[in-house]
Amino acid sequence: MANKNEIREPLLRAIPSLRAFAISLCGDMDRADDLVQDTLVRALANVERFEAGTNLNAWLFTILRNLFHSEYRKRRREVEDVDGAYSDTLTSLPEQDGHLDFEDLRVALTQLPADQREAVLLVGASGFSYEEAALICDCAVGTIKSRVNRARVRLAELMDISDTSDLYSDQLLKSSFQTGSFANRSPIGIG
Amino acid sequence: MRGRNLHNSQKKSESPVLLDKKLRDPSLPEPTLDQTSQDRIGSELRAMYSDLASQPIPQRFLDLIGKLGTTEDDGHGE
Repeated sequence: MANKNEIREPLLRAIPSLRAFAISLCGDMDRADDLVQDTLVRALANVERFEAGTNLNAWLFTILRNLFHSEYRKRRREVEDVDGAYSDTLTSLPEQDGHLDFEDLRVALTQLPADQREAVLLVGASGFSYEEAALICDCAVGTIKSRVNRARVRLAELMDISDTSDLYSDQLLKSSFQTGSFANRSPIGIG
Repeated sequence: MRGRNLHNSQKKSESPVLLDKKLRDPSLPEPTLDQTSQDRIGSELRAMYSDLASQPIPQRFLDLIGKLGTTEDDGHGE
């Protein structure tokens, strides 16, 4: 059990990473800040449900993620929306130094299915363990691992980091090219 | 060789959709990305994140938490 005074400081400390998650998750800064706002309101309203000493960040991320999904489902009913349609809503962040460098990554993230996007953000960027991410996303640890893995593969492809065209081909063929220039180009055709 | 190149370019244009489909299919085995690419994606994600997280907290959040006024004189007020 925690009270409002005790939770203020930790809440404030959590805001920057909560915002970073929200912005990366929905690709839109205004929407992200609305999400963070709603998350904080809900957290403050339910503060007695939070057990002091447990992971506040995981609790906040869970609230934000649930809000994101319920909003997404609502929007989906309103407009016929599909995964990846977030790219249409991608608005420019203020063009401060550095932001443009991540443009490719931000656009690539919007192309991922939401479940893979949140998984790779929680584990790869927010620094949650697979176990914590599984709690936040309310699924099995193995499911999170698989989503993170698939998200990485997809990002590598979208960002031209690696030739992913033969990832699903014969494992033996693949392993023979893992040394050397495997990452650049596989000389093997589709079959 | 030429035929092979043709193959490659053809493959490139249709592979994103195909790969996307495969990555959404839970029944398929896990693809594994080479470590170098994994590391690069990891560091890009973290860099983007810390860039985003380094931005100042919007005033409306400070107001909401009721921390207004006490954030600046931390250590004196309480």
